[in-house]
Amino acid sequence: MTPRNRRRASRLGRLARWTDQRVGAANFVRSTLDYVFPKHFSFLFGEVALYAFVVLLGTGVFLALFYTPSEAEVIYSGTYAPLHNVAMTEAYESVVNLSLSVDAGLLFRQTHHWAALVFLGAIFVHMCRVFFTGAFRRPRELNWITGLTLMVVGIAEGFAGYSLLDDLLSGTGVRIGYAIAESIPVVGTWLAQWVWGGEYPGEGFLSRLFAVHIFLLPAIIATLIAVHLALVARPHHTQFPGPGAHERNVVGLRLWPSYATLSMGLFFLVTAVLVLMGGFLQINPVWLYGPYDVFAVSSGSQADWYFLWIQGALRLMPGVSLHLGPYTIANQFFPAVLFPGLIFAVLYAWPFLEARVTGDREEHHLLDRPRDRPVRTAIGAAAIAGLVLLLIAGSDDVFVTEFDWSIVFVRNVERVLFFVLPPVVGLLTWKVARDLSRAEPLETDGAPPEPSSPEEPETARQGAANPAADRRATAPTPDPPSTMSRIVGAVAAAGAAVLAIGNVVGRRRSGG
Amino acid sequence: MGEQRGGAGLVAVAFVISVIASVAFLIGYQTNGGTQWLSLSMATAFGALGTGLALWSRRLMPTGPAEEPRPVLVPPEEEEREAAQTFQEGRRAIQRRGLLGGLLASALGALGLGALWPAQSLGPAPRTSVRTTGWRDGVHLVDERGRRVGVDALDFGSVLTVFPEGREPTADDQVILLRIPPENLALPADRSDWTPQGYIAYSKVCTHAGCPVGLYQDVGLLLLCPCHQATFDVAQGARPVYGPAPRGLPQLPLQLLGGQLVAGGDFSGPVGPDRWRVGEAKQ
Amino acid sequence: MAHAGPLVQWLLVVAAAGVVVFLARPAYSQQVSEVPQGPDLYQSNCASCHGNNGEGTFRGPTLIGVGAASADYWLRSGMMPISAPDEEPARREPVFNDAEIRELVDYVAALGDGPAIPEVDLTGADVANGGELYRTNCAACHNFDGKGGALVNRENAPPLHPVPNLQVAEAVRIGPGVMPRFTEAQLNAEELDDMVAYVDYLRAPQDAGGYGLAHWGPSTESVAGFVGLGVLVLITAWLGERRRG
Repeated sequence: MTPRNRRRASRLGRLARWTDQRVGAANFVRSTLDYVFPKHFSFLFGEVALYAFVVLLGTGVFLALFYTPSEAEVIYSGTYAPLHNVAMTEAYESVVNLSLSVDAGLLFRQTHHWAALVFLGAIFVHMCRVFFTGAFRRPRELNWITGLTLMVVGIAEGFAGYSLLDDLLSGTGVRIGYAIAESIPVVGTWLAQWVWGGEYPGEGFLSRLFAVHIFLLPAIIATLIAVHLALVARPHHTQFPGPGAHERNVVGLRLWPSYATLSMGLFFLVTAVLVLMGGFLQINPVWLYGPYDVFAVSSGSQADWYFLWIQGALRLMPGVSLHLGPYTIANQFFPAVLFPGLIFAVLYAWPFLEARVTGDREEHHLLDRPRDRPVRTAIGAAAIAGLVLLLIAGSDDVFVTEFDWSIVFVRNVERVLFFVLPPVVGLLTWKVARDLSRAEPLETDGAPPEPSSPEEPETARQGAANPAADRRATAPTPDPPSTMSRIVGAVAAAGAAVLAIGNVVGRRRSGG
Repeated sequence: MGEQRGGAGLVAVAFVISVIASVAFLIGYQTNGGTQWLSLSMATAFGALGTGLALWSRRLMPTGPAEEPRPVLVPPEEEEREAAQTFQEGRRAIQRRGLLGGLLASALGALGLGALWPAQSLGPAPRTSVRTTGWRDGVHLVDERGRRVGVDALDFGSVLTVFPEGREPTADDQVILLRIPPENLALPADRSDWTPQGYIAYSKVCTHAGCPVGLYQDVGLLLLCPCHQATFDVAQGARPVYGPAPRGLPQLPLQLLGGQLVAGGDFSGPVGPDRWRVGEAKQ
Repeated sequence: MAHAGPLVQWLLVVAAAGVVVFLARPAYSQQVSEVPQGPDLYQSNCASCHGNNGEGTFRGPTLIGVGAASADYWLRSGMMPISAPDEEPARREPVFNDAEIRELVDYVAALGDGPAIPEVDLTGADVANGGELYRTNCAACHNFDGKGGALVNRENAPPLHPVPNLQVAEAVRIGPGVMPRFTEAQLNAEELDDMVAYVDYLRAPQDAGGYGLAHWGPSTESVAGFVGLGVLVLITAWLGERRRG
């Protein structure tokens, strides 16, 4: 160590000791620095979400300083010619100015929006990892609940964020949001008018939304993240079974210095990707959408992906309301309130449902391989298939327009698939998972797996009379196709089938 | 230790690239380099820094595998008993003063109610009255720029968004005005005089989720909403023929007054999406 | 030249004559006979579906009163003529040349009163006003960026980018297919110019933010977002271990 480094080290040491004598945290610091993280890359998904949130906070501060949460009408006189002299709200004007007239403004805004999409996407992927590996089981049920709540609040936060811009696209979404709020039985009208400050479009809605978006919900999210991390750290991370890993230990990388450095590296890399997207991939070009006008709308209006599945449900739902005497349970209630409510109710209850069904109430710190739980994996896969179908339904008018298909035909196919696709995907997944699980049993003691050759007995029987079969019997059995290649193959086949059928049958016929 | 030859060198290169990229960002900002330049330089700065740190960790720092025991979560019975006992002792002190405890609960409850009560200021008082629009008998139709709509405004096959004259239009006031050959109409009998010279008007607020029903298909005479593709048959009183709308668009009766179009009353039914108490339109 | 033999001299003269003839050749249009008259063009290409006097048949609608604008629109876009009544009209190279189109347009215009070909003059047009008019009247079917939109049971609203300015104006006035029409009382000539100027702008709108992702909004943006997430997952695969345990 150089003399300068030695002096710096002793200065730091003195500072640390001074602090510790007043805070008394030496033990806590030591145990924190020694904390072991499992090394598998899937444990980093939650961190991707966390760092996306940090990017949201950082870029969000900049945006908040330029945005004007006002519905007062102004006449645009900025640099973008196609909006010259157009009447708009101050809010919308402030966003156009930020995007086109403030240095680095557009970069911050687009990075912020990409970070929002990636934040929720990473939460979703992280949730899937937790689900498919059974990490939600005792003692982590509470953390599953905090995580789900983070996702729900995050979805609300994202909707609030892009609605602040008051452009023609997001304004349409706000109107639909009002109709959905109103559809709630008994309290709906009152609730909607309470939130909006009157009948739609209400009074001062944008400034309320601003307070919700920059203060209320971020505070809740930040608090929940802290609780979420604490609930991870208390029992320590789960880990995959493997050499040296068992229920009562954690094997991996120590926080200090290795994991902290690695995680910091991940933070900067996440930021790098988001900033790169923010500068090279245009997102939400509100100057092109135009200001929101209650009487105007554009075809091809989609919500961001985390709401797009509800839009799909709204489109697939047949046109009926439920009439109970003088009262009505409105049509939009079923796909936009009841259906998501049920989905989230099942999600929240899942750890308890699974514990009851399997009778397993033990602590689990070793993760499942998804293939070893074929039923759970199948249900999860079916749910994802349903989600993807709804995302497609929510955006079907886009590709119908692009490829000049018939929306009526496509919608009918989607309606059928909504009921057919999840069970089919679920059954297929169950079969594949079960077969894979049997073919490659879990190595519990580090010994190599038994060679898998379920066909050998048959070919051996035939082999006596058939020299070709003889060769087959003695030839090394080929490796079973890897999970990934099966999945890729299935998706590719399905995609090709959909495109082929769609192109042949869905193409418009004249007069049809 | 896991050191790899050249590991330190790579890390150093990464950090140097990061510094250069940061400087490039500053230059880009000062010279109005534009969004793409700022993005590329800043992303490189972050990316190189992150890569450097990742390489440092993977190649120069201990990579384990380290191991530590997992903390026991279920406390020993002794601890559980002590915790429960401590709690019970305190609780007995409260329980002995039953009346005080009850009054405390009442005070807290009342205060909580009082603290939350002003939340009502956010919205209008809950009431059950039906929404009204600006349409009344004799109110002129005006276009978006306030010009009155005359009898020659539209040809057959034209479409126009109109509002009631004389007030700042609300969201529920918007009406879509069309003109179709009268022989194509098939309206209910009680609306036979609602369509002078083929002019026909419907509420533009979709009865599904409130989007403006802005698409008009002149062949087939269909009004279409772009949000969820609710489709209404113009000739048959805008009844829903496709999509998720649960009821038709309310129709506005029209009359001619001195060569201009006026309303003959309020809408034929409630405007906008269904809700708990959909109600009837007020006259 | 004097030293060349007689054969060579003849060849040179012939070559020179050929050059002169080639340079003085008449233009192609002058070489053919007169441009066919409107009625003849109509009878051979249109009458089988639209009737001998434009009155329409069960195969095609009447052309009486559709106006010059309508004929010009359908012919210049190449969507007419079609070879069979149930063929889907599609935008393509026009079958007729400019002179023939003018002949047919005059013929159809003379069949009855209808909208004249609008005069489109974009100099001094107010693009911003055009944008407002576009969003109020057109965006619901054709999308804020002019990408078109899905309609039920008939053809979809087409994208506007490949449509020349004059045909945009004509379409607004005639309402081709399922499209409604917009009268002079709704949109005067100046407002129409403004709107066409905005549609023209939409062919290459300002993409300050980078690659426009086809201007389809959140649908393509969400796909791109997941691609970005995929890149981040790959980065985590680099940072962490890929083998379990």
